Amino acid sequence: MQTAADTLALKSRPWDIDASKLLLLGIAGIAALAIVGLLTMIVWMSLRTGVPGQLSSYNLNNYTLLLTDPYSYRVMMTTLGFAGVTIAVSVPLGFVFAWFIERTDLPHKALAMSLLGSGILFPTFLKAMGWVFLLHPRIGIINTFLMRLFDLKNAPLNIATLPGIGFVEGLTLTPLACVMIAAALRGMNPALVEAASIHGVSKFKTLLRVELPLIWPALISAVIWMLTVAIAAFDVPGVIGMANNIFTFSTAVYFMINPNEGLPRYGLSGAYGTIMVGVSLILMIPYFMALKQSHRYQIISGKSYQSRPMELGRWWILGWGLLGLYLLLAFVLPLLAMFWVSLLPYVQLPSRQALAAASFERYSAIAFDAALLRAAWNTLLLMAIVPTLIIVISAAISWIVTRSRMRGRVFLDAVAFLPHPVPHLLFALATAYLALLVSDIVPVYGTIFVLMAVYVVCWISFGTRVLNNSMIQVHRELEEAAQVGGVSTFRILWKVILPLIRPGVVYVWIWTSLSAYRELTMAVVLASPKSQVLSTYIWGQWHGGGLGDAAAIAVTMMAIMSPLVASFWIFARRQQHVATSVS
Amino acid sequence: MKMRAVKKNIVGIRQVLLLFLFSAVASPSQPAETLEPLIAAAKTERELLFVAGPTTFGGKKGLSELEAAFNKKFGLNSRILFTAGPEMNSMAARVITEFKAGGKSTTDVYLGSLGQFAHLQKENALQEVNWSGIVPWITKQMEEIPSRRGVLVYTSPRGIIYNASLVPQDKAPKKYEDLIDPRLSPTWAGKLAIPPYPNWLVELSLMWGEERVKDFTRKLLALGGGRLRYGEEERVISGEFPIMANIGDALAAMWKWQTKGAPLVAVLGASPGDTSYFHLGIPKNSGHPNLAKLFVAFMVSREGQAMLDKHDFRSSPLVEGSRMAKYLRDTGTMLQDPKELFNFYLKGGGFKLNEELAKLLKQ
Repeated sequence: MQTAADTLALKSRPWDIDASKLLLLGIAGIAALAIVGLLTMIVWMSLRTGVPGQLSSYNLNNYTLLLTDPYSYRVMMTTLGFAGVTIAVSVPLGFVFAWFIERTDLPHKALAMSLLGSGILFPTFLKAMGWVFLLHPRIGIINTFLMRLFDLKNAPLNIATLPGIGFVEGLTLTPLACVMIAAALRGMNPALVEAASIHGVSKFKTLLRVELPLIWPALISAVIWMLTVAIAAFDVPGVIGMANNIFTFSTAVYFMINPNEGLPRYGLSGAYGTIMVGVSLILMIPYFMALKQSHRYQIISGKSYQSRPMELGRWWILGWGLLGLYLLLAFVLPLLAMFWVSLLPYVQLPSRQALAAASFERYSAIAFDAALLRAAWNTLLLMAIVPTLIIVISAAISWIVTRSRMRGRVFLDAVAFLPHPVPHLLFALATAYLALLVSDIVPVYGTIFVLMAVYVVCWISFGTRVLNNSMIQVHRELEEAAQVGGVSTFRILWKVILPLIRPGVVYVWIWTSLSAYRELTMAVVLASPKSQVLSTYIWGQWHGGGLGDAAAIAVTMMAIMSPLVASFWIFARRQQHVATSVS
Repeated sequence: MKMRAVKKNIVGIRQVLLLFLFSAVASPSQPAETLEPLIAAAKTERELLFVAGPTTFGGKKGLSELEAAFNKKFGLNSRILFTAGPEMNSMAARVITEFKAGGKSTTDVYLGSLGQFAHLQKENALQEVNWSGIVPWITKQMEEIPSRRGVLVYTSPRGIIYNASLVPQDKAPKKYEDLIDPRLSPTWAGKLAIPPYPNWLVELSLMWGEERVKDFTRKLLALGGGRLRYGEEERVISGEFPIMANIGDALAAMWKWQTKGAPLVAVLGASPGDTSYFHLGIPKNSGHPNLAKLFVAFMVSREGQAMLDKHDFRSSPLVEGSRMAKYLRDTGTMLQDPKELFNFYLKGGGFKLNEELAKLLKQ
């Protein structure tokens, strides 16, 4: 007797394609083509000279220029140094917080995790702006306070240095490191820790000799992940580094296409980009190897088995103290510094005289700023449309990868993952180049659609990772039953699979929506008068010297957007995806 | 006698023909435009895209007032879509790139100084407009330097700016050479802000010579603490950088911030003063060229100049009664010859030196 599965095995062969499958294939195919096309565009750009539309021969001149220019090596070394400090700050801090949350009886753990995750409400470039006002050697409020307190002649701290910008980037990436490490600590075999405890091994020695070796694959994954993020980071190096002559990969590429003299050097930036794509892909090899190793150290336990958390006693104060200090440094102080600056006619250190000059004048001007309202509208538009498109495309790709038997689905999955390790600035660069190239045929250059397209392309990888994991958990029988009943593939996806993976879908939607709200790196390359978003609007003010205006708009943006973003966040938490949602 | 008369006639006819040919070449297919048809054409273009530095023309506040006055003057109902964009060199590069790629320009009006206008002219990216023929208040002198591809909107002597609270008066520089003087420079060593653009140094070379400028640049870089763009004077006022080696609008910056009580002092670094001659031009691929022309015309009108002065303390010495005209007359300040500057960029090796100095500044 034939079962439904057998019937299906006979019916659905790789070449069986109905109209709805064709639709899914079409959507996935266009997305894959866009990803591969844009990456190819970067390589193509690197072989040409001149601006888009100009005739050019194909050669390796850009690579020669890049590799013979000492400036390139300086930029590469600076980028590595910046990434090194970022890792040195984010991974240890992330480990400490993850350890307190996962391995101890710290009170109110859920609240601690939520507070760490609330970092998503505060865009990175705003934190960087705040830190300039806090720790600059000459105008930093903290530095001035310390100098007055200890009667120092020179500022003890300096944010306008490579370690300084690495520190700020590290602070912003700490929640992500915490989440990555927390997942490993949660899956760790607690029996070994308990055995060490029974044998009288001290808690600190247990941490060093038992727990750390058990989670090393997760630590290595976190280190590599932070490295790729830091290499691609634009926000902090752009806000703090550029004025202080510190150029990392992203800011150097930005200046190649926005030069202080001559024409944009698209070819040279393409050469930089091609090398960075190669480096990013190479870095993914140890990352996946480490991830593969991590499963060896995990245990599968029944619901009845629970590891005994370490009793902190009074030491819980240390845990919450550290967390409080982190929140103070990462969110509260930068925001307060910006608020202070926004009240003044020009940047001044806190004093009675400055307080007397403080007013809300800048805020009243904001209320009538039509350009700012347009930027806010564009931001909201992107926050609504980009995630919706990502869900549609990711669902199509994930369905092909996890539910179909189509040939080449593994390749499709690999292509969908590609935007994850590759710096997003490069996708923006390739999109700008392409849009310029076709601007007389398809006039999309400078429109919001270009931003929309590149955001979607870059975040498909995230959407497909989450939806792959969700779809794989849905048993095939449900789908097969529907197929036997003659239901089309599209309807099965819509009526059967998507409702079952709703939490994953909602989570992807919210995460990408919040990313669209925070995004600066891609927007700064592509935005034009009609496609300004809040982040580029603030960046334009800051970069053009309007520090007070930038601070006022940033504070207003936080005040207006935070309730909306926070409600998104609370909703996402309810979907029980908190652990992975901090980034 | 008869032969001489015939010869004279032939010369006369030749002269007329030459004059005719010359005028035909000089203004290829220039329609006889007047202001009225221009206003009528501008009425069909609802918005004007303008990308420039965030504080340009008084920033948001100034531009909203400008928009109202502009509409009132010409009976329009247009919107000025102002966006804070990259600095003038980058913006010129963007205009050229978009023009070569065949797309519409990001900005309908381009604001820049002579170095950028020479670059744009070389790439043939700006519209030639018979400004003085169309707009009654635009004189030939206002349009002649960039060959009618722009109109002088304000003149800004460049100079050093410093924070008077951080640089004592007796140690303050009086000229560019003082910046690298070992007796004074310890005050700002490692804290000196240097603009990332080479233009001011290129233009200084016309007075100092190339080698002296290169030597000066090397010494200056050794004292540098960071890079500040023109328009970022608030970072000097804040004390982030106590002094800036050069800024495009030194006097205007000082006048503007001193009224707010900020301790900013400007010093013209050379004599004759190295100067930015800021022009407004229209990219060939502008999406709203008629509205753009009217906007340029408005900015050099008495009303436009008054508003520019009100918000930015900037003005053109070619507009009668302007602050800059009065300042130059009262102080007897001599400025660099704009023709000489422009020709240096176009023909005299200015671009080559620009490139060399840009490399130096990058290191």
